[in-house]
Amino acid sequence: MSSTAKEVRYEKGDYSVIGSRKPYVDAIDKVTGKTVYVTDMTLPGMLHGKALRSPHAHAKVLNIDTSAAEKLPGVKCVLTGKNVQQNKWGPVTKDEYLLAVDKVNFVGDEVAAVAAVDEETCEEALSLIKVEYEPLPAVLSMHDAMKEGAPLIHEAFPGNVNHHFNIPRGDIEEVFRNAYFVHEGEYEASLEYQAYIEPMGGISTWDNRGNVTIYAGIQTPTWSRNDYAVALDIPVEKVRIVQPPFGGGFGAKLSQQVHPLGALIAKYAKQPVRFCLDRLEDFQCGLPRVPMHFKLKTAWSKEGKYLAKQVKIIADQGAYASYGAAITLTAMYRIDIMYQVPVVHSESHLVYTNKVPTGCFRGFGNSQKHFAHETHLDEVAERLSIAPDDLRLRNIAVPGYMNPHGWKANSVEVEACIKKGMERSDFHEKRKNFLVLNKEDNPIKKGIGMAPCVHVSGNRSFIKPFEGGAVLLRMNEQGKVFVYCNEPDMGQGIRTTLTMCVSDALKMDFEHISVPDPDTDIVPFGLGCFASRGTYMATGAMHMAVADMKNKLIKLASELLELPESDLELKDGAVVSTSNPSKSAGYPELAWKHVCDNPGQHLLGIGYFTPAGVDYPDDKKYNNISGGYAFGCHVAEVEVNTETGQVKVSKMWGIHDVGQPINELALEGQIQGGIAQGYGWTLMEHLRHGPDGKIINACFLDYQVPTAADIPEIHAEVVDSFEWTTGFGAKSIGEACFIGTAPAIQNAIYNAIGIRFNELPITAEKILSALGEKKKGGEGHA
Amino acid sequence: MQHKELCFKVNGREQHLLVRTNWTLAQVLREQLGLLGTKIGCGEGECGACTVLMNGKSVTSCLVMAVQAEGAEIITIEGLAEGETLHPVQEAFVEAGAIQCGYCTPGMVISTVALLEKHPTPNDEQIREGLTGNLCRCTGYQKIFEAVNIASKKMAGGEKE
Amino acid sequence: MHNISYHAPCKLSDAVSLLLELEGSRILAGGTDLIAKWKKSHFFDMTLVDIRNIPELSVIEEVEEGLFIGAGVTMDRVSEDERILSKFPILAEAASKVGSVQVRNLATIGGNACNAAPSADTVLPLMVYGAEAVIAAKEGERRVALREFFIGPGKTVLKKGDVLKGFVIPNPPANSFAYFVKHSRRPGMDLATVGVAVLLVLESEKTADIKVILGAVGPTPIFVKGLDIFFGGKIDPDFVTRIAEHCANAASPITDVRGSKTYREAMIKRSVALCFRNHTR
Repeated sequence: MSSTAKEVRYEKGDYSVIGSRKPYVDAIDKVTGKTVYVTDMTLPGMLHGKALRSPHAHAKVLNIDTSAAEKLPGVKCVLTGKNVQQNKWGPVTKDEYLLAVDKVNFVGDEVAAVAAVDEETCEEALSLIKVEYEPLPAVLSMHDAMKEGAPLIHEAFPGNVNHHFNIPRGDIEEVFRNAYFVHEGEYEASLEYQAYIEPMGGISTWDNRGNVTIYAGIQTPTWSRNDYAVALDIPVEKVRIVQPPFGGGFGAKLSQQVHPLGALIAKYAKQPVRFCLDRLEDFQCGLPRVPMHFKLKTAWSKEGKYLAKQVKIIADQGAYASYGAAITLTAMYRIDIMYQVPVVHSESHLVYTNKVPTGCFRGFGNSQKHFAHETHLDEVAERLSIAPDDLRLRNIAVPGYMNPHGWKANSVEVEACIKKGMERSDFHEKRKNFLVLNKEDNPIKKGIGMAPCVHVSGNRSFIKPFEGGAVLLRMNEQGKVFVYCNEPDMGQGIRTTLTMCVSDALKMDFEHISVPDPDTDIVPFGLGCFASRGTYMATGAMHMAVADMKNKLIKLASELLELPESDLELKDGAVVSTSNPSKSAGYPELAWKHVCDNPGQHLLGIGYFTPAGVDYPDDKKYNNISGGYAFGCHVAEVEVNTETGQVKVSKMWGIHDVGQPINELALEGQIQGGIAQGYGWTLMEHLRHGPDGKIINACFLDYQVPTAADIPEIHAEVVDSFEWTTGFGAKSIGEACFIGTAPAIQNAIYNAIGIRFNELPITAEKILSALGEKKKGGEGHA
Repeated sequence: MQHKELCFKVNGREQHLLVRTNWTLAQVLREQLGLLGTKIGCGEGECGACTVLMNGKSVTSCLVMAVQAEGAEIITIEGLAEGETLHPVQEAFVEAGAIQCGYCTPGMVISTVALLEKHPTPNDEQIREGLTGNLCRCTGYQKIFEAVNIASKKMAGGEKE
Repeated sequence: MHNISYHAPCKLSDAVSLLLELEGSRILAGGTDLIAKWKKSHFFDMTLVDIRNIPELSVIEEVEEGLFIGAGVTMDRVSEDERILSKFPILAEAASKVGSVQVRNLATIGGNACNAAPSADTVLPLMVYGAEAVIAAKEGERRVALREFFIGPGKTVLKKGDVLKGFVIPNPPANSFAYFVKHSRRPGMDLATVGVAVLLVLESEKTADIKVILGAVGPTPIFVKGLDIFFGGKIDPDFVTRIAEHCANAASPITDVRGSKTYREAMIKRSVALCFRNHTR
């Protein structure tokens, strides 16, 4: 089914609520402690579940003795991989059991599970399970995974390679041969943990017909049913997922072992089971960011025209593949829609290691690539003696740009983002001043750096015949509107976004609009919250749904008031005559009329949205993957203490092209929060494995995320933009706001001390050591 | 499993409970008193989601054994609002957009109440210092800082018209 | 696992008796270290003697030699007490840098010492000021110089039945100056990568006495020896470099998640230098 048939061009509407600043509709419940999160929930008759985890990075499981645990009072059941019905599962590659069979592949891999009356009894039961392991040699570095003689982790994947992608576009060697300047560099992005404040978890309950309901902290309730059905070896229609409020996801809470494993325990316990991770477990198996090594080679003309880009990636997916393949693909070429580069070649190897499985995290591989690429471009700018912003602007995408992968950008305001970023931060003036200032005998060196960024608003790569979103509006007999949608809220505020759209289009107040928690038995089909799709897809569908409901309301009012439809408009929760405003019918009145005229039937507004000009990639990964490319520019100003190596980011600017903003308050919050996480990734955060494969910093004291004391002042702003493929004109922000931060800080540090750190995180130690080397006369590279 | 009687005051009400000696204050508040607003983010005193006021001071209730609260006066997030009227700090958090997923919010609000008690008109450094024990992964703290300033003004009566 | 027997005596002598009578019993003070450790170590069984009801453990009072600070005094009180601020400012400063507000509201100065973590913040100023630990035992009270208190990581001279009652800190000599540097990866909610406390006595612009304590760079806090070679000197850049070097040589740092051996060595020098530079500034 092709969606490219017709050209779509929406115009900016006359909005009053859209584009304003609204506190979240669920904020009062959250601020009073009334919101019940997944891990707060209990069900009648509920037991607790816990998993026994492998202490070995790689080992054969020879024997499991559960007899003592089974005898412990309070224990309902003890499960191992061999006494349950399960399948290997995974969102892309089916390579992971819920409970290990024969072999464990990372420290934290689940080998057994228990259900008991409380968590204490679970823990005691786990301590009574005796597992006999035969440790195997482990692969603990992605650079060793493909080496000859490396231990094999999965039989089905020789050389530990899960995926090898190769996407050539044009004759790149020819360009390299003839180019004025060719630049090469290597970069490495590290393992970052999402560190949402509520750990993962779910509560599962089965009925007698074999249907399971999982109350889950999950970003993809409908879509993950497919994965979980495979894992549990049941038909997908038997899986229902309800998504209560949950405490942050940032990509980690897509399909995840914790939900189906909890369901499995509940199945054998024959009672509802709460299966929630503690923080240590969450660190051990929470699907952190895929680490990647990049080799970049680019070709340039003397004037700074970007002629060709070659990237070779090794990506570390840990013990199980999760979304690794899609993430690596994104890292290979997503950025190619921001620059006009005619010839590009991307190659990658996604490898298994005996470490924590890695997955989605804000940027989906694109962040890793931006770190490498935008560092690389700064290096090029310096070699070509062109200002960093200027080099980018000379090659920047423009509206309508079609890249070598067949992707077409619609609205593009990245140039405005860069220019505003430069202006707001006083970039060039500061660069001049710092050059003078840094010559003084002062241990503090100042620098300023920038990096533009791009991301999608939905990425059409997941289901061949499907892309888009749906909204179902239901007006009950009191005139209250319920919004059913599969683009869930995980704190980013989509619930408020949808409420604002309904309020604006149907001219009604927030009091009478409700967005219930998604329940897959009720909401329309949809992919869920990832790929920055929520706002674009949901408001796209909402535009149609509100129009549908508006038409129906006017038709009803026309009948009731005996006035022509053309004379009627919506105002203050009523349909009002334009010629005689004293004649009007309130929504409750109309809703009741509808329920009586069509006995019992609520008034429905139905909307769906297919992004125009977007198609599933062909076997050469060609075709436009998104209808709304979102852009931005991040600028960082830093002070490097050359005595300690410590970096203080004094200020950051995030300027974004998000299309039409819906909720400016939430938008600023997203930008500030994204930059804060990017700041952590760049300077502080690194989940580290010891030589035995155990994570050595699995707590918040050792794995440090930014606190209130660290965080720089962050200026958030959007540029004027409207994405014409969607009714309200909104694109996205969720990931773009993270992506530019690391390279901006890196480039600022270089500006301050003349040293680049091409491996994240840029710690004080690395800086101090590199400064020492530089003093000794070494290269300006680390 | 040993038990002990615990008499303490929670949100202004006397409570007499039989508690497990191995339970933390956070567990008793949540599981025996149903005060689920006190969140458990790490269970190790490192994230601050479980912050409550104990005898007027902010503490991480996951590091306080319930039995240690004997005779104490505890205020949780549920104890801040007066009826339908939100505490000025709560109002400020809502207005400033300082809440995203909201899981850190109860602890952050309690810490802000404690901070403003000590420094009614805090400077930037005092705000940052006062909230260092509360991790937020969504907001980047900027709007939380704004909320603290708004609350400070509200509590000084500056916003009353 | 998970069995806790809990006692909260009101008298110091009762605490001593309980600790002697109950097999495997241990003292619970603020609990910030103990409870976290208990949770991280599979909820081992504990017999707890909570000392918070014992009045003399939570007093701060002036005594003949100087100041007595009870072992149960919390960090927030240490950081704000006027007497401590005026006489022993770097002790207040060190206390204000422990963990977070919530931690400081619970954690006690006695607990900080009894845990015997090499990185303990308040131990450094206490040692540099020459504090003595006052220990209650069945046989009666005894005093141990804090410099003799630590045996190894997590190990002190305290024996079964001993209760650390508090510290007596002698009044600092006239014309003395104290400096404290906590070098950590981030400004708050962190353990020290390197800690330094310096007490400097001057006589007509020249150094008459210098004491330096280093934290987090050895199995116990380190009292730097051999500093008498710097007595009678003038604090100039050369002096600062030499004494920083001397102190770094006294340390035996290890590599851990907070920092490598090499980085720690560099930060000892820098932190010691900073103390002296702060003086000349």
